[in-house]
Amino acid sequence: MMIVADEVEILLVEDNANDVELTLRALRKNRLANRVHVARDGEQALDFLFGEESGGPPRLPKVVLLDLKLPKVDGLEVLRRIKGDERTRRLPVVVLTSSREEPDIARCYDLGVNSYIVKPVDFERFVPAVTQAGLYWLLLNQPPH
Amino acid sequence: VVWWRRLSIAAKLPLGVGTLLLVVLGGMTVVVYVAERRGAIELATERLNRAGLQFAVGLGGLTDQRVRGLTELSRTPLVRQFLASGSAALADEVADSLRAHARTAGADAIELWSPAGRRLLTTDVEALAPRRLPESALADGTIPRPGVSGFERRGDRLLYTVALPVRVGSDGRAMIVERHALDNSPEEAAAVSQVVGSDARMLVGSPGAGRWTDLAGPVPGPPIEVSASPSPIEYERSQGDPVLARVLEVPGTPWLLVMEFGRASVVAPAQRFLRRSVLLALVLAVGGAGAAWLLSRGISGGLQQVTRAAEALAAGRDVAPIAVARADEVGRLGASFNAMARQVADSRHALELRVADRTAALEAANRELEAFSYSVSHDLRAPLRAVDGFAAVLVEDHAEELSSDARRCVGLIRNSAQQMGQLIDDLLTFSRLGRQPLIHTRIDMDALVRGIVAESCAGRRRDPAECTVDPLPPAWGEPSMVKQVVTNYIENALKFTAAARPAEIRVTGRVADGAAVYTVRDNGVGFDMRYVDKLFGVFQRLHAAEEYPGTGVGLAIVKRVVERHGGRVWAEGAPGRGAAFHFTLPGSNHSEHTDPSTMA
Repeated sequence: MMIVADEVEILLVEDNANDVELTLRALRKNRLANRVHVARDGEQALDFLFGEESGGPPRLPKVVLLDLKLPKVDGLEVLRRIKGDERTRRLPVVVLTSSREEPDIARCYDLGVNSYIVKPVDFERFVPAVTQAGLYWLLLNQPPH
Repeated sequence: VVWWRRLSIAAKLPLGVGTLLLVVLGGMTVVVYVAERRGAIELATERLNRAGLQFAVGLGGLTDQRVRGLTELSRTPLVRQFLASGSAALADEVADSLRAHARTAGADAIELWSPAGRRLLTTDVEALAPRRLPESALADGTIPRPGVSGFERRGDRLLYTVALPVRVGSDGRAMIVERHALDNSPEEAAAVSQVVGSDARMLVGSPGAGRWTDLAGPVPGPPIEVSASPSPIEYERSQGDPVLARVLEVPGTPWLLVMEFGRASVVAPAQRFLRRSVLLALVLAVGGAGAAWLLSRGISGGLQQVTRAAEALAAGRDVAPIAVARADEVGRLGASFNAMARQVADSRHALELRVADRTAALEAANRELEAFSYSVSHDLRAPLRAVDGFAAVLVEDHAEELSSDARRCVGLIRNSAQQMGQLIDDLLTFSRLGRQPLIHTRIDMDALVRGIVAESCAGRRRDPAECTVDPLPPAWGEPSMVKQVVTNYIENALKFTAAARPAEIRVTGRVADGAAVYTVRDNGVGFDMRYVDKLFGVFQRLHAAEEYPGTGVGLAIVKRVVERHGGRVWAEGAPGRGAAFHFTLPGSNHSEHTDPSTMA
């Protein structure tokens, strides 16, 4: 799903292929799936954002949908790097995870997450959860310039 | 008696010995003192008696001698002739004779009186003879016996007279009178001191006239009226010192002789003895107590060491072994104490190790459980979401390719997946409630229950249940957990009153034994009391899942939360006649209760 980098509006960081497909389906239903970049682990996500090898300025999507349990670099670390970097500090990050464990939630908010959504098992509830988040951050939210 | 019991042995022994010595020596001292004092007084009395008698007799003899001297004088022819004739020619010669006699007898003066009561002659140059004859010479009409008068004061001297009647003619009764001073003999006073003692004093006086002399000069008499008595009397001198005195009559005179003895000087030796004895008793008692202390310290020093070590051991401190340097009972006690302390220390150490092991194991188990919960929470839900999600995609995107039976099957798949999701959520809640730390705060149960009831009773159903909430007492607990309890009870009641028309749910509360008791009562399907034990178990259900949906975890969650708060849950009901579910919570802030399931 490679698209032109400059047009990327959503960075989806998710290792589970099923969840990737279901999330994209949910976004597609509301025509939000056109400018999505998928990173399958934390390292890819950081590469996409900071372009470690290019060394140029970071590419900023409108929102990052971040799973917590990821191979290599986990979600919390990605969140910490984003919120700890002057250039990406203002980038909205929505954690989209299966975990409703209180310590996870608390740690994410401590690191400055913008929203925390527990993925429902029920697909009927999963679709609105994902699309509402997408609509909100892409259309409703006013980012700083 | 309590303070005595609390004293250490090292203090008891010397105290006891000292007290005993003090009591014995003190008692002996008192007995001896009393005897000594009585003896001294008896001795003094005897000396008083003897000396008094001796001087009384001596004085009596003196006056007797004077009377005899006068008698002799009266018998001389010159005097008789003069008295009979009263011739002035003889006067000078008689006066010479009288003067000679007065010198010999040591008299102040000698006078001759006529039967008519006229003074015929006196050797007294001052002519200070009494104007009346002495009373002793004028008793009655008969010739009186020779008499000695009482004392009479002249200047600073005390005088007495010896009068002798002399028969003149047939009825004439002339008088020859000799006057003496009694207080001109200091050598007599010195004799008293020699005989009786320097602290003794002798008084002679005529009590009627109140004139007294100590033989050296006039002195004030005894402060009380005295009379002759065979036993000693006591009175205080004017200076306030008590005296022991004997009063005697002087034979042949109207005089009284008083022999005084200072009482203080009598009992002084006894008192000196008392003072010395008391001092000695004190010294001995203190010395004895000191010796007893040394002795008891030797015995109880070891005991104290053992006692202190035992107290330290009892307080849970580590104890260094006691140095045992003796082989008597105390030494054996110390040795066996050391052995005991070693055993206690060993078992305590073993216990600590075991506790540390168990704690570590529990902590590991807890960590594993947490990891497990996390996996369940995250990893178990992901595939379920895929199952449900792709089944939904199948129905939505490929509906026309599926037969009605296939669509029904996909629906069943989705139901199961969702149910399992719910089950996982409930289990996680159940597990979390067991691990989450409790922070007790005061909970306004009235407001909390009313909020939940308002939300649940009205919102969830087409036909709202009639929910009543009575005023509820407050409780202490973790608000979010208690809220879960109430929610589960209310949801339960709503679920099982679904068929009731109208559904009635009532929440009541009261305070009993410091605990707040809450009850949720409904008029639903109820349950058979035979299965009451299964109500609060995990995954236990009394009704078919098709009939009443649910995972069977709700009441287990209630039980776990309430028991972690130190309360209890119970229920009663009957099939078709509703049910009552109860739970208790702490009514006040006693958060120190043990929380047995924190580790679970």
